[in-house]
Amino acid sequence: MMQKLEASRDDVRIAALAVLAITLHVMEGAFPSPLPGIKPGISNIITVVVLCQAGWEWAVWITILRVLVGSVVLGTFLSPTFVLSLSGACGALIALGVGSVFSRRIPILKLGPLGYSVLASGAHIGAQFLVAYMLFIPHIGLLKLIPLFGGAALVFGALNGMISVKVVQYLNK
Amino acid sequence: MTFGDLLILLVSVGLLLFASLAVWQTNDTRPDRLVIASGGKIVSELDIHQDQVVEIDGLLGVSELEIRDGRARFRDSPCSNRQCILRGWVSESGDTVICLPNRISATITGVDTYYDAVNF
Repeated sequence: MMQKLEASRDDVRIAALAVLAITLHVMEGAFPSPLPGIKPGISNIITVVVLCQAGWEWAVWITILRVLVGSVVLGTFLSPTFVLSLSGACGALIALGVGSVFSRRIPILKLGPLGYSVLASGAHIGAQFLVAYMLFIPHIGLLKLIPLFGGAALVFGALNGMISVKVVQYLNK
Repeated sequence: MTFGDLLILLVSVGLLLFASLAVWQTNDTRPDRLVIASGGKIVSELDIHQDQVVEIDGLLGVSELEIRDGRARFRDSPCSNRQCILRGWVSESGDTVICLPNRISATITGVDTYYDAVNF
């Protein structure tokens, strides 16, 4: 006997938003990059906007789906690239979770999309460095790249944040 | 932009600057001491800032090492091809002059060691 799975309205919305994020993720994969690992991370815009509009659980769903499906589409599933991508996403989601709790509890620390985006990109690159150091390159020389990658994360995080601000403004109009 | 956003931006920039300074600071390779070894054993450790000429006994005979203006060189050596003298003055921490036939080496030490990525 087959059991029928009903997709709720929220399931459909999550799927639609995940598709949007996956599209940006795959599009970004086609961009040339000056250094492997430095990329704009534009799909993070979706994560940040969803976090601001719908909450952390939704952001987790959409980000994890994006990483999984994006890696299958790009052909990096279960490769080192995928491990780094997943660890970065997990780091960013944990940081966003902590950030949103602080944002709700302490009024003066209230965060907008810009703060969330910079927080997420910083945590993303931090988690990636941690995992890269532990799994792939346990050499102190890896740390010399932190200013370079951290700087890129800050710049792109801020740019994505500004875009997210505009998107949230547009959605709330 | 809320105060929290600004705080996160400022903390990020601060962390980045701190990381840059911590990771990319140049090494302090100012010379401090000259460690002289003969036949594999350290025989003398001298202040590089005190000008002097020292005579070191080696396998073939006596080599003369000169220290002047924070630099060091072989001044004379009983070896035949005199590569040690032709090496000239060395002045940075990690630099070494060696007279292989006479089994004598002199290495400059300091806080950090200059790393010769081309020759090493």
